[in-house]
Amino acid sequence: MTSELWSLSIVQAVSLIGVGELQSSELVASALARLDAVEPFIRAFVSVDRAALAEAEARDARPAGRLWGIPIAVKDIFDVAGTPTRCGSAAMEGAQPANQDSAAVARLRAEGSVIIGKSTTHELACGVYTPPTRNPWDLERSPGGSSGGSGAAVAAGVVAGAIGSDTGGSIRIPAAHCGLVGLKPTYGRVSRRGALALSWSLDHVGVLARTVEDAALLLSVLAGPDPGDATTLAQPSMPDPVLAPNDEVSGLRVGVLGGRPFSPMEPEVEAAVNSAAKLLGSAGVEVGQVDAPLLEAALAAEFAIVAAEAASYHEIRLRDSGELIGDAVRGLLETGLLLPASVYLRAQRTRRVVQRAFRELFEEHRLDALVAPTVPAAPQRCDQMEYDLDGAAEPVIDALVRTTAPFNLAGLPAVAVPTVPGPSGLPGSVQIVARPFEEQTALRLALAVQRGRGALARPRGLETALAG
Amino acid sequence: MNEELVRALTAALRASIPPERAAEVAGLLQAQISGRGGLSAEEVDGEEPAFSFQPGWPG
Repeated sequence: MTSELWSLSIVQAVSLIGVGELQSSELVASALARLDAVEPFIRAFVSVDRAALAEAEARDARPAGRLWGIPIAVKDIFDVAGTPTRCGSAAMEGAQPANQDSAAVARLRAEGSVIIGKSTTHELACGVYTPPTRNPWDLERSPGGSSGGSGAAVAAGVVAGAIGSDTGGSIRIPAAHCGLVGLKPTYGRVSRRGALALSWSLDHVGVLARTVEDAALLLSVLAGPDPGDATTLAQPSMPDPVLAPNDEVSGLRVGVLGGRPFSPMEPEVEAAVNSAAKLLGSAGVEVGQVDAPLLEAALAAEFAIVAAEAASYHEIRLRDSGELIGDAVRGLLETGLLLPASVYLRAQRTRRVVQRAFRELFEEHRLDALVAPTVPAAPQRCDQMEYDLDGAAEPVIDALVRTTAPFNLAGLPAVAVPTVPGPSGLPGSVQIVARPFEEQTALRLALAVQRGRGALARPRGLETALAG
Repeated sequence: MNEELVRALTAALRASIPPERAAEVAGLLQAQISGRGGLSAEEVDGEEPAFSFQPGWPG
């Protein structure tokens, strides 16, 4: 048994706990010790539940449940009973402890997981930096956002899995920046009850993990109908298990998305996409190139929908404590208050066209999945506001969201998976996108990339800091 | 879009936008409107918005 219990995957830990070779309390103690060691460098948590150890000890006696005794981190936009939900905003500093768990947290607990803390979020889940959190691969860089705390916590080994939310890339961007698997399921697959909304029609609840198998296991726990979120009702059920041990991908057909809005991208990102395509080809997947230039309209639609819906959701907060909201998020909310209804409705109609374009793409090329760069550039420095791509300056938020938002608009399941690291040593990432409610297909293909790629090194920035 | 228009809209809608932020909001709003919500009117002709009303009693 390794002395670094925190480095076990969820699947490994569940297996060891199941046969009595590991106790939950040992695992949680290891996670808390790791948290204490790395938190000064990554600052990924807003609160830590030290009572988690006692909770884990209570679980030692009777292992049961698919996540029995597994420590999990929760983005601080999800209600956790007894803990305030502050959403990374000074405007919510005085929030009272939640009365009950959000649906996602309740499902995790019902299967035996132990919530060890709440992870940082970019303010109101609206941004791609997540201050003050740092990227374990390079402590001068951002972990991405808005689920940046969940990303940094998983990458740093505090937990093997965390939950996050994704309205325009907020799970997949931190996953890409932190060398993780990030799963945004189909819209309606996982309940949003008890989570702060950013945009009702675009918010997706999902997971970040170090392995595809762990992401699949977490999804199997989180997915399902909830009367508290009507979008989850009457949806196709999730296959069980989500991933079978000998799942084959040979014969599946994949289209690699090129052109705008996925270009321009950094050469290392392009190499990562090519590497993933090659790995899939080696696994017997038929890989071809496709493009969908119409998706360039997705970014404007995304921003219009988020502005209008977020402004409505936060209207009272903006009125009562707007001066406490950071300028960037406040500006978006204020803009949303004045945005003409015609623009919002045009955006929601654009969304239908985008959805249809994806359907036609899948049908015309008889595809099982699409592959695209998760993000077009390496993690931004914490103070970096623009990328230089193909000789042109582009705001970081536009660059990161233009590759992820099309799949929020269409509600399609998307799995960000690390590829072979490039010369910079920073993680590369592609996203694999499947038809609605076919998360299983995306995960099977992501697993093929993971297997072909091999194990990743530990995040070097954090390792160097810990050694110093 | 300009500060005066933002101030006028803010007053008419009783929106919570302080006068000193009118210039910034005018710029952001101009960018959003220029984006047109994505596609042109012709390109979304015949499409219903991507949400639907549920006639059952809300839970």
